[in-house]
Amino acid sequence: MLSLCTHDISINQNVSIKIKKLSGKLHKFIKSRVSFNSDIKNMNKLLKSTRLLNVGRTRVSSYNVNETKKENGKRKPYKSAEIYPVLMVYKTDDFIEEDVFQPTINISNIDLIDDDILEYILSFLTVVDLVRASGVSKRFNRIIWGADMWKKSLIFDQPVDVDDAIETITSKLWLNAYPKWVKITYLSVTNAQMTDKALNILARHLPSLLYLKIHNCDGVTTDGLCQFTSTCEKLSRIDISGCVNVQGVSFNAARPIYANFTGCSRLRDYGFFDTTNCYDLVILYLNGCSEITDWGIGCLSNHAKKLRKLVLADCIRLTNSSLEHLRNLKDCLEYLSISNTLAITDAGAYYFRLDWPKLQHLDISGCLSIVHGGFYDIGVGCKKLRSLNIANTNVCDKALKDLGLNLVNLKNINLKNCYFITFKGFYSFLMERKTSLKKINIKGCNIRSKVGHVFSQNYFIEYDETPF
Amino acid sequence: MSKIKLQSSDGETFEVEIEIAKCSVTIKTMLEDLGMDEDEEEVVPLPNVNSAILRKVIQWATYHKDDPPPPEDDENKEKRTDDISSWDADFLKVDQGTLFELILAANYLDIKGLLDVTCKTVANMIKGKAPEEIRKTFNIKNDFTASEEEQVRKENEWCEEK
Repeated sequence: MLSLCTHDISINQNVSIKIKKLSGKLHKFIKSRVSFNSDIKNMNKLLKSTRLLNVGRTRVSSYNVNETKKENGKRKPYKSAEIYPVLMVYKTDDFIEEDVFQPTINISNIDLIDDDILEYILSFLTVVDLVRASGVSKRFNRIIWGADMWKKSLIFDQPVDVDDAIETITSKLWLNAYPKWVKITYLSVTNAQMTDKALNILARHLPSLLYLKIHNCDGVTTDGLCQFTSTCEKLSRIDISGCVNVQGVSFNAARPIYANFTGCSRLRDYGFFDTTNCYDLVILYLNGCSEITDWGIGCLSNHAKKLRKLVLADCIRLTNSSLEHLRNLKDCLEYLSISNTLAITDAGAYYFRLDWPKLQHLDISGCLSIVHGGFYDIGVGCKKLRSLNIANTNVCDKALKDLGLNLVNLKNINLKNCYFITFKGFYSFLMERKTSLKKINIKGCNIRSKVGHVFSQNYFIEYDETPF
Repeated sequence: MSKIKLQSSDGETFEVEIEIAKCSVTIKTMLEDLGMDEDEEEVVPLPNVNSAILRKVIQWATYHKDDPPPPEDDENKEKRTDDISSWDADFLKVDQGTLFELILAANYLDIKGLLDVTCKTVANMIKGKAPEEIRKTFNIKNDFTASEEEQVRKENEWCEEK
């Protein structure tokens, strides 16, 4: 008996051979990886030199001991003893067929790696690339349509028809992979189009979905989404940015903690806040929801007592009474943006004067109707502020000085395009806050001095090159 | 800084700092299991990694020795393949054979960071390609029969970009 171990022979490169046909007795397909440290050309020489191929009657058998070990679903590396199957060559008489080593010429690097590594590589692909790759070979097809491939997320990021895709994939996986498939927790559709039809199929097949992300899909409507959220009770994150045909979402079954409705320009007050189902919301984006009014914000403020981050930028219908309502959230809100809400004036900003004990980040950029008094009120009430964005506002030297005096924790301030600030006002603000400030943005300001040079040692100042 | 010796399959020994060697969970476990004294002159044999690949692995581990431990796979996070650092990208400008040997070595040595970045590189070679192009890239034999291939093509019709 002759026994070969890989490191007995060493030349250069790993290759692997699939021994498909063996003797009559061993005729069944044996999947085996025999690794030589040799390159392909050299291997044939090598085999000849070791007289393996030339032994007229030879039986080849192999032990494939490197069965994939899975513990808790995680891949475990092979121990050294397992990684190289030993090729044993017997001299016997009951051999056999020719071409045992026939496939050696066409060895692919992919054949070197085990199914679980190939599966790991494929797991980095999104749905479209994955399904395309299933047409490569039988091995790819088997792995890709196997249960383990579809256990976490479903990501569409290329312009395909997701309705067709979902239909095909669900029917394909229904039989062999269903138990795992239903555990998919994350659906993401960006750059692709889908409609309520796909949502319906998904709601039926993926009741345990945790995270839904659908961007810019005109075909998704209020009905489809409501049906979906009433089936998928575990949904905790929903992001339907840019789905302009959604007017509302029902959260009677699902109680998400994260909701992103950026750019859902038809989202209505009643479509979202009329029930008491926003209790669990922690983060809410409503920027660009131009139909939302003070009334909606009032309902939200009465119920969403866990809300920590609220973005209301470009909600152009909001007026001062929104801020009055938001006072109800003062004990939870840490981040608030009312950027570009032009109807909010100093009278609204007055509500900032009353204590906001948790508020750390405030964005009122572009609120051109807030003038001096409003900034003063912010300084008085929001002592915990760490970052303040007052870009594109009418903030003046006096207001800035007040902010500097009051906001003792301020680390980051954005003063981009604040034309009314002069060097003198900016300088005195800096002197006041020099211990806490870390980052200042004065791009596009009318501050003409070498101030950037003086302070850049201590602060990270982003400034426009031109004014200096 | 104490060092240990690693021996490749072809007998070459490499002396590396123990902290660098320990980025391999396999070596770390081996040292713990064997209770190797750090000042002992022991050689850790790595019969599955040849010297050329081991040299690359050590180079990678040395560069990444101060990296924070890789995060556990988050189920709700998209797996990205475009976050390969430029150093890693340069490091992995190697022939395909070497790339796959690095994958095997990273898997055997259980170095998650290296396994991830090499697998991502291969995934990027698959991305955006039609089946025939993928076969060409990796020299894979098309073992479908004509009728099977037709069936697969039909099933995957929706993948064609519109």
